[in-house]
Amino acid sequence: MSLNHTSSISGAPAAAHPSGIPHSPTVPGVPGAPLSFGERARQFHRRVFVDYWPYWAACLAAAVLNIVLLAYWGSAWGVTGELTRWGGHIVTALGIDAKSWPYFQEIGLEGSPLQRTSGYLTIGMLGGALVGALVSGNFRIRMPQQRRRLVQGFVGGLLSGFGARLAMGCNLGSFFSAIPQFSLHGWLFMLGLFPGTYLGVKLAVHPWVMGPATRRPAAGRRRAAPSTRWQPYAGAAVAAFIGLGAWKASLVEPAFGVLLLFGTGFGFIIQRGRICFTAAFREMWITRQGELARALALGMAVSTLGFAALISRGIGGNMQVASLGVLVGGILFGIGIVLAGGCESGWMYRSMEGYVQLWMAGLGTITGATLLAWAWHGLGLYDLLVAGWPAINLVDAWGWPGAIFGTLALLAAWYALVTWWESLPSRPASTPAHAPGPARKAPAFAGGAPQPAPRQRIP
Amino acid sequence: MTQPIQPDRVLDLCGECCPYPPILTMQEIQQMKPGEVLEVIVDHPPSVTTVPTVVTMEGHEVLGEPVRQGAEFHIFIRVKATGSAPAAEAAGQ
Repeated sequence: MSLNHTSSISGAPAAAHPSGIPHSPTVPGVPGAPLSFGERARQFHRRVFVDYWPYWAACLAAAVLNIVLLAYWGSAWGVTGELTRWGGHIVTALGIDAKSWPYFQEIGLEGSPLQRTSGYLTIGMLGGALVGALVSGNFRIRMPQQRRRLVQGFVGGLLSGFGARLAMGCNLGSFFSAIPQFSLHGWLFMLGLFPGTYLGVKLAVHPWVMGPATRRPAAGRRRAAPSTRWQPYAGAAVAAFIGLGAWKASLVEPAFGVLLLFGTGFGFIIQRGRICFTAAFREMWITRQGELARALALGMAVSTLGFAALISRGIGGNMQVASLGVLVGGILFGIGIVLAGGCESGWMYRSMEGYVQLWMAGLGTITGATLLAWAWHGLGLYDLLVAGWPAINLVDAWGWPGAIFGTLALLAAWYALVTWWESLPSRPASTPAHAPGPARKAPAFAGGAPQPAPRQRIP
Repeated sequence: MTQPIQPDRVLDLCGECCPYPPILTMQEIQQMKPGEVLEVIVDHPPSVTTVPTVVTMEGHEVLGEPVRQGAEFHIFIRVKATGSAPAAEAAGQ
């Protein structure tokens, strides 16, 4: 009986979608009748731990947590710097003197991940995502049916890790945390994401990459999917273990425990909210859905205000060089994340949901980031793409009002752009659901290989 | 789900993640006859939203709510009566 519980996991975006698909959770009892405390508690549990959060709620939660993190830690949310260090540790273990690489001298390679705050933040993210996956009953070892996906995940991860570090940060450090810190390099990175994800989609849907789907006989006995009823208990156990770990770590250094909890919070939020930066850009080229991009713009607008308050008091304000390398890195990163099936935050939470493809993406990311750390001077990338470019602080360039309103205006422009893009007339969703009127033009699926929609352009 | 829907075809997309489930679903639908029912099995949570969104965008009908079995979701789609949008039309844009 545990196999057949029907439930919806979609969050409010689906409920709000005009498709008419009934996605909202069923509330027992008469509509409008006051709920008992027990029913309210169950409803709360379902909203927070079972159903996916609406994108806007998750992005706001991440933005607020990011503000608190900047206030506490002096740095905002980011992961790839730490992942590059993990790669450095691996290379060191293989007998190579990574510590002498200029890149590691710049970002530091001291101690182990358990001896630095960024290590705890990253481990916490993995732990928090695992808790989120388990409490919602969504953990499952998901082995792709086509082995090519494993290669694809690794190659995509390699490109995104390489690109992210070339840009001095991923979708978090060079985008979600960079734009609200008024560092121009965040905008350059974003600019690279548009062509990058577009190229990534072109590659990903090529028949050689995509491959065939698996058909099953329509009749006959089905195998039953294994129950996931045990998972919430396992999730609670993992959460308790993290709590214990945070307490133990805080005995060594209070910040270690706190950062572990911050990481856990971020991991839980991205898993529960399905925050996928990849989808926010990739879907422009496939389904044109802009829901996630709008939610991210909203979250980053909130971060902008919070960060401005902190930076004006001398906290944070991390600036990176706005170089050609950032733009190139953004393009490579964009291609990589679409191929891999997730960006840095995306692969972290999906790997914890059991996606084997995203495990490969994680390995690829660490490999790619380490490769970049070597190529920084080993291949002369620094001199070629980064040297000589300035770090541009929009606050210095435009003054406080200019930086705040300029950033908000640019975010609003992004919001408007994806909304306009979504509403273009050739998008078939503009027909009311269940009223299949005249045959509309298929935007992306003709002949299996999505074609760019007309009037498509890279902003 | 009061009574199980009998699909004409079953597409198993377990293990596939974004962006493939909606694309492969549409590919399958284009090979089907009007009125036929396709069952799509996914275990990628975002697909529970994206697959119905894309097929309804294309004018096909999603039958009921996705049925959850553990970490798997079964989505039932009826191919629209007029047939799917011909490839030639999109190519001729």
